Amino acid sequence: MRRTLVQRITRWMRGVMLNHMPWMITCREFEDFILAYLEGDLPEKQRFVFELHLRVCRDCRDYLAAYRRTIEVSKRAFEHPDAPVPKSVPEDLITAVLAARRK
Amino acid sequence: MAGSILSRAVGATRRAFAGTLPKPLDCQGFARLLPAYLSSGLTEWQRLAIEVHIKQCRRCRQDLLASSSGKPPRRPFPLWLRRLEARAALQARRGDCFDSPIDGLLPAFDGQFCRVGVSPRSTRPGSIGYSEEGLRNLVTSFAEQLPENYRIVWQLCDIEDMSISEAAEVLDLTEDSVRLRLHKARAALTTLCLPLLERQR
Ligand SMILES: [Zn+2]
Ligand SMILES: [Zn+2]
Repeated sequence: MRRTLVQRITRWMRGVMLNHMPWMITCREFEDFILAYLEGDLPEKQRFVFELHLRVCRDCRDYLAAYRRTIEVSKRAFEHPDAPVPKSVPEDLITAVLAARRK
Repeated sequence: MAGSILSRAVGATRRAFAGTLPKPLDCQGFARLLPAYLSSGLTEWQRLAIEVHIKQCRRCRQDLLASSSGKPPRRPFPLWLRRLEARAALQARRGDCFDSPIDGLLPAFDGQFCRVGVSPRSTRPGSIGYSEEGLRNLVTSFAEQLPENYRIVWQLCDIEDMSISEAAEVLDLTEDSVRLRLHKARAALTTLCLPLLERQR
């Protein structure tokens, strides 16, 4: 797990680039926009900046892939309509959901 | 000359995000928002900014403790803050870092705000090697590790396929806080699912 000096310097330089170069955002900022990006809610400019980060940052690319896979996997796990819901969902919430659906 | 072009471009990037990015609070901003915080009159983002700031700034934490002990606010701050203090002390001793049950499962960043600790090199779509029932049990056990506020939002949006506005209506929350919780829940589940996704390399 110990990183070599070269790897550490490279990583540091990448950090400087993400923090200071124009049109770059940090991974922390990227994280805040993932949901809006997947929902298609990002305005064009922000989407451009988001996708630019995705191009330069392998960690975020891998992370976003895993994030998407997790959503798929959890949807797949419950795709059968009769699948039991996870326990500890309050009864009144289920009632509220059913009521909202019937509207 | 080159410097001014660069700084203008940086400014433009920041401005493009200014509407949506929660700005980090400084001590002055904290003092300005404090009264509204005590009367629970803040948006989710502002509250988050306050909570992030008091986690980092001991002086403001003490300010908040002092100002909330006089008049009882809607949420039990003193107790909550004391827990925060206790947890901070524990953290310092253990050398690890988590603030609420879900924080330990959220992505981590280094001092330059770069992501750390992601490893799945390929998470190719395809079968994952579990039956639907096995997968359901696994995901259920993961979901049960999430705090209830997060799990419920995740369940409504990702499992029941509700839209964010529908979930907000059912749960009587703002859409922003549904978004925030949904994202955190998904991020925490991603952390828990990583070993599962790595299996199919
Ligand atoms: Zn990144
Ligand atoms: Zn402060």
